[in-house]
Amino acid sequence: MQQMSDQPSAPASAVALHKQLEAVWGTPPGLGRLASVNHTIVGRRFIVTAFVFFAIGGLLAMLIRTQLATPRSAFLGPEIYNQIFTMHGTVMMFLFAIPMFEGLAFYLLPKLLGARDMAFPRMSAYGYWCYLFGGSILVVGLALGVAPDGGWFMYTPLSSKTYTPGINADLWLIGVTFVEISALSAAVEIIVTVLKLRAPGMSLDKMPLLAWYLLVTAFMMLFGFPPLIVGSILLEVERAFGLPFFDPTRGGDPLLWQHLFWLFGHPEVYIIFLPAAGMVTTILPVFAGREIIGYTWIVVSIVALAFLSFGLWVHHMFTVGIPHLALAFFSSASTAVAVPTAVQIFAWLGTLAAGRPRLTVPMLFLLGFFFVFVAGGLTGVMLAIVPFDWQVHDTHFVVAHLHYVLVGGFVFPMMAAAYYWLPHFTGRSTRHGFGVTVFWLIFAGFNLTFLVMHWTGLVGMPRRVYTYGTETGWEWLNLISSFGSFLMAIGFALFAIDVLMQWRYGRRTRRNPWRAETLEWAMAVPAPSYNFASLPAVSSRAPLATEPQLPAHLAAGRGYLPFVRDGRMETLAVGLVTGQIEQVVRLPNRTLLPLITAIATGVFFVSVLFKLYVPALVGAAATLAMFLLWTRTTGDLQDRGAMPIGRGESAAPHTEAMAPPALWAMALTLAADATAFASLAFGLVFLWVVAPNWPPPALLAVDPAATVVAVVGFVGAALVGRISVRPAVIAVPRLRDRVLIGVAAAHVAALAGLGTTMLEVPDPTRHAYPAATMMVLLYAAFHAALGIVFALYGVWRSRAGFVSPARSLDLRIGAMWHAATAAIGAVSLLLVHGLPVVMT
Amino acid sequence: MTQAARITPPRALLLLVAGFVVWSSAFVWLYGGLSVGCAFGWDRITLAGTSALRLGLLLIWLVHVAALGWLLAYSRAVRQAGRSPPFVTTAATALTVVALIATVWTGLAIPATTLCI
Repeated sequence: MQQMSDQPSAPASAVALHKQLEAVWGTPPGLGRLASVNHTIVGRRFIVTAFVFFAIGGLLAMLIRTQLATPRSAFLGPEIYNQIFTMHGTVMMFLFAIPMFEGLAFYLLPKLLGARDMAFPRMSAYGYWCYLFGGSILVVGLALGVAPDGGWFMYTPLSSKTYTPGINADLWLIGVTFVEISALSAAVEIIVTVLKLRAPGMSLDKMPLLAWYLLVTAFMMLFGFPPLIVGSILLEVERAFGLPFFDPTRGGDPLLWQHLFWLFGHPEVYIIFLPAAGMVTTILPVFAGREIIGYTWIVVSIVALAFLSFGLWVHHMFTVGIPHLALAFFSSASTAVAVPTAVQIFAWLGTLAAGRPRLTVPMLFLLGFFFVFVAGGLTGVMLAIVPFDWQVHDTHFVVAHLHYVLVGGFVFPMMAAAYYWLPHFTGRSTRHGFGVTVFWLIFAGFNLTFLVMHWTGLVGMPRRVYTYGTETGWEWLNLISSFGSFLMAIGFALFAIDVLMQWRYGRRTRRNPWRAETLEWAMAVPAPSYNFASLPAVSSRAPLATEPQLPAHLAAGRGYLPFVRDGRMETLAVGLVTGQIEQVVRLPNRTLLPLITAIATGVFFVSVLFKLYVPALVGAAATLAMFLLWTRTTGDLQDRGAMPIGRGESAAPHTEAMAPPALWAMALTLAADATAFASLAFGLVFLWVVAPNWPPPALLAVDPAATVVAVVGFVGAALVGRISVRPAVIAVPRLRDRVLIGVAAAHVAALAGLGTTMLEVPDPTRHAYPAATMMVLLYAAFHAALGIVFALYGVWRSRAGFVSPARSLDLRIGAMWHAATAAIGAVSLLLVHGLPVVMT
Repeated sequence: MTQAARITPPRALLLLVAGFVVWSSAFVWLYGGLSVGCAFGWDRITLAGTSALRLGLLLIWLVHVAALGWLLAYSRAVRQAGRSPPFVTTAATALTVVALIATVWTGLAIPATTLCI
């Protein structure tokens, strides 16, 4: 191994260091911004775009309230009204709440953790473009009058082809799935960043609580989003090709959609709440003037809450006819989830009680959050009780409850966060008086709108009706709600004006204006592109309290990596639990590839939307090709050995480390993949056990030869893939190439076996059994096909000089895919051949 | 304590979530078992004075409660032996206790409620 011991010399002054770092990490203005992958820029883009979508969603809410303000209103017809309430929910949930969380996470995480960027900056940029394009598809649909109109949860059979023959439902399925690419890629990136890219010394117990919240939320996204993606694909396949997954006349079941949707949909509520709770936990101690009470208990409660939130989904289906005992299981989880939430609330209240609170604008919004969210939580406990839920199901009581939870649990903390971190974004100070007016308008407007709405629901007004008669007694209640909503809208408009005024005319603020103790305030504001001129060594949960001179020391280059090495963008990765320095991570620089890849992905989605399947295939192939192009600039062509990192220490480059970030990313991606496969398998088993019109008219005929070939192919791919990462094989270039070609051949065999089996599947349009069987086989075949790509990619990287016994990352990633493919292939074959034996 | 006996990452993280993984398993097996049992009519088979389905669900529940009891003892042993950072073992023990309570709470209705109606 070639040892590189050259210590790059640190610049003579802080200004010279700044210039050196800015030259490498900075993004040029103008069109060059399109190539930006920097987390500060991408995070800001997410946040600004999410606010634009929030404004669109808010405008739609105003239209709804205008329509309902008076009985028999002729303002909107039912068709447009259906589109508007569907898009209001869709925009707020998918295009505002989740992307806002992603944006804040991208912007803040590296700064909080003492890193220079996220683990995969190009994925952040790619995720942003997917979000923008996917969201635009939905908004363009709205402008053209063909927006989704079946409710934000797209229940079947209303959203099936028979009852929604137009493009409306397709727009939802395609647009939301496109946006969810960004959610899944963000989840992987956030987890890896929190687990690996922390400042030296930042062990798990010294991590800021906000990082814990974001970590747990990202894990929830990783396991929560795949069921919805699978459900959306199944519904789109049903609509486009007639495979009847949700059609009860052909063995499908509309309840399968509800299960897949709410498997995502209820955790989604906590996916929205937890980051906001993390903001509360970060901001509240600053204004209470003391550290948060119960750090360990808060970590315990958010992990508990994350798990419990996956056991609630059926409480959205309490009225569909589920056995009492099953209702009891879900009711128990629904009530239990209130406990960890309460633990956090008591920790916040305790911190306030033990501190000396300052009544700033962020603090006002936190107090608003307490009032609104606790009220929403209490009505949530009411709804968790099955008999009460039956009474108010599908009434405005539920609408009021969900707004108390979501606006209380997300929007109020986000407003607090906006006022708290605005000086960080703009470098200018906030104005107290204006913010107070904004708060009272929003707080009073919100409660006027939704407190009254509980009564509207209790006196029987159903959701999603576009009008009502004068005989109902709902007129005054609705008029008050509409008045309140306009008051709230004025508050948000003033907020937008406040932000613009501050950004344009605000006074320059000093560094750390709130006297906070977390690392994001240890830098100049607005933040420089590289965050820290040198990386901190952390010894406590409150680094700025322990070491008030830390910002000056870091700016002067007295931390880690106080230099630019060979024009590379470098940050440090640490041990998962201990925070000990492990590796130097080289990050990729700005490039247009994420944008081009997102455009290619967009070609795929838009082509599928218009049923143009040849261009769709071209888009998919182009996306894959673009992703492969990304790797041209990653990796090393030579072994480097341990490299100096400043402060007299050294660390291996990530390409030679045992567990580099990319390996973690692959493991997490495979976890999401396994969840998607489990959702699909659940679909097949659910239909067989529960759906009407089973057993199917014809079963899959077993072809022993095809099955044996497929099994041998899958097992071979896993075994030979494992051999390909043995040091003895990697050390001999010609041998490793041959082994990798062997892996590709094994995948080809698996593909051939699966293909032959698929030919035996009865007509998949006749019954849900062959339809689901075909989807399971296609899922396995897709993995085998990608396995060929991974194996040949390994050959390419090997021949290009990126692989050596010390640099085996590419091959190890491939081996993980081959093993996962074998597992999915084996379970698929077991399912499609074993289930008919067990069930008939 | 030797280095080899320490719980190292990512196993330390797994210890943190192990309790709730067992709760998740209990939840999936109970709900799945109930659905399959009702579909196959196991509620109409009498075994030991009660229905076979109820007996099966009780067994699933108790096995998971026992598993959590064992995990709690293991977490405490790891904590007392100092085999993992104190924060991780304290949080893991607390999470296992919470998961145990949640599992008991989830299954409380099994002996009392109607099964397939």
